[in-house]
Amino acid sequence: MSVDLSIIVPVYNEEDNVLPMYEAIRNAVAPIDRTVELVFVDDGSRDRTVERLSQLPRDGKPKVRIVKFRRNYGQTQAMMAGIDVAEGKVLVTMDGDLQNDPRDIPRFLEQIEAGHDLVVGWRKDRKDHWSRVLPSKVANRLIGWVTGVPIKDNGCSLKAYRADLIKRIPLYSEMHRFIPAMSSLARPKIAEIVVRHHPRMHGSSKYGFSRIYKVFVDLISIRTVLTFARAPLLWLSGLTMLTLLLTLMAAVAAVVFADTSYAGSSVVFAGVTLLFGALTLFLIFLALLGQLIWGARSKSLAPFVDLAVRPAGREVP
Amino acid sequence: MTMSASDLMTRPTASLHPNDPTLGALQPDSTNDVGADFQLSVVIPVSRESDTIRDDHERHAAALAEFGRVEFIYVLDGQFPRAMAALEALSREAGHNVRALVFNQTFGEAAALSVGFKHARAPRILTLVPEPQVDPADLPDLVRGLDSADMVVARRTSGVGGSVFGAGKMEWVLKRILQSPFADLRCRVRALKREVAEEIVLYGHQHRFFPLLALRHGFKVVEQTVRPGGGLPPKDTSAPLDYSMILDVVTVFFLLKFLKKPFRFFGGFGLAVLALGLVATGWLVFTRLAFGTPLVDRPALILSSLMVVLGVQIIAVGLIGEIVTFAYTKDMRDYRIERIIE
Repeated sequence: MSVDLSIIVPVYNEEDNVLPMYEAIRNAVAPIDRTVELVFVDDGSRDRTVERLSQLPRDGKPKVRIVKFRRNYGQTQAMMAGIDVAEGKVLVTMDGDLQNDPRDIPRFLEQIEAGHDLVVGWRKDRKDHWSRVLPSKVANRLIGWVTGVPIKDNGCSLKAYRADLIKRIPLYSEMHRFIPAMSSLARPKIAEIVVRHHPRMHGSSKYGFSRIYKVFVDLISIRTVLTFARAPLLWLSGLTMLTLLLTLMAAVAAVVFADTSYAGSSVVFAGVTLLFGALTLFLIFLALLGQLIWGARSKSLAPFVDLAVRPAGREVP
Repeated sequence: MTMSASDLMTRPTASLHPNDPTLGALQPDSTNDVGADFQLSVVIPVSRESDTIRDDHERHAAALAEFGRVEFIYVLDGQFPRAMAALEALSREAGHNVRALVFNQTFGEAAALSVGFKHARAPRILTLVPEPQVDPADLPDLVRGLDSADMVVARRTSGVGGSVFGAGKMEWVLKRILQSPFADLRCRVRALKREVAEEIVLYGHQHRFFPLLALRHGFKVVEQTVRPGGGLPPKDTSAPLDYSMILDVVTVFFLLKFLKKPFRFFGGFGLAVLALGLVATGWLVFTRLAFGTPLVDRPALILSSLMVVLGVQIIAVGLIGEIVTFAYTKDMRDYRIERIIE
């Protein structure tokens, strides 16, 4: 029996939230006339989360599957495992702490079935302290501007994907935040819908001002990787052109000043020419090194890059 | 040869047999079915010639007798004829319970441990050194500690061996830069669950940081106070200033913090140097144009340009690192599923 919809919920030390979460999802998907599976990924909880999970009803409405990690690997790894294991044609990911509302799921499904590849939740009315909301707004602006995928709320875990797209997107380290950006290689049709958001019941969040630096640095990485994946030789070319230009300018200055009363400057400019010339050469070699890495790995990355080339009349799930 | 040892160790699929001829008739792979009921594997890297190996073995075996079938795996890190003779005799008497693996030359303690782990057949593993670092009477407590933890590390109460200069130095450094909670990393007596050994690849001198690596991999590691056994420490920690240790601390620092996000490390440095260079260059150009401050008779402009160049280089290296990570990301699914409950 094929599964239409997989709901992936990473949980970590959520023993009190498991049952309410299950009930809420069960009620939310009951009216949908689809085969639904519910994949809980236990990220190495130290409390009774797994015990509670295995006590959930097994009547197949929805079908419950529990992926138990050996230890704590982090949220991105948990989502990856859920995505790898899920069998549905449409995948929905959400947080295990009841901040997302499962009643939004049917609307996500509608959007995917209307032909979108990726549906992103937008917590328009966030129930968090401003010190958490503000940095996240700044980060979202920055992410949209750098990656060219302007999404209002990258941090919202409630997202829906066409399975064959998400299963081929490489996620690494804390990249689940950047899934829409990473998927931009495939030029997906993205929809954004406003979702309900509930205040956190317990526990604390780590999203603060210090994260801005990390997001900023990660953005440079993402941008590089995206450019690189599109054109492996071009990823450093902008920077290389810039340093080449500086080299030439310094060289011209050195020559021009050589026979004037500024002869001393000529030496300084010659030095600068040498420095930037060396840098240009260094960057060219690095670009070639990148090409080498790409050549060695391009086979395993091909399925991801192929996403951009899809048959015109592809089937919508 | 150290290079080839680490190559060997980082490739778990590579055959190790050319380098570890097994004693006598004991073939590790063919005996797997026999050893299914071992309760505890004791892995003992032997790093120097020893005449007391037999006595030490008997003390350890007596102390651990309560765990039922215990296997002892001695890994000889080099050719030690007298220790070898003693072990040969032991393994003849004790049958499958004592095995010795011999390296044809010295590959280091981490390599010895890794090979030992590979051959271990029990769900719980205890690492020892041949000399009693810990009072054997305290060993069962360490193993029992595994009921509530993934790894139990011995911490000796007093009489920590080794050079005066060396004592506690590494622990102090690690505590400062990596927030290591461990006070006695020199003590090699550690009890661990099999999955810890399977997941963490040790190479170089990383056996020293084993508890720290396990902790950062998400395992539960606890320290347990034990009485010292009076034996000498393994020889690699006795040097007053140990360069390999410094290198290893740097490696471990990088591995633990930035393996999956190299640009967070390089980017921070590079952007700082670049910003400094740009500000300095800007200031020099500004003062030259606005106030006519000469640039000719001093190296200021060259130095500030050099800073810009250096910053760009560090950033570019970091980005290459990021591309490597991206290119290999399909292999980086490093989660391990314990089970799927359908």
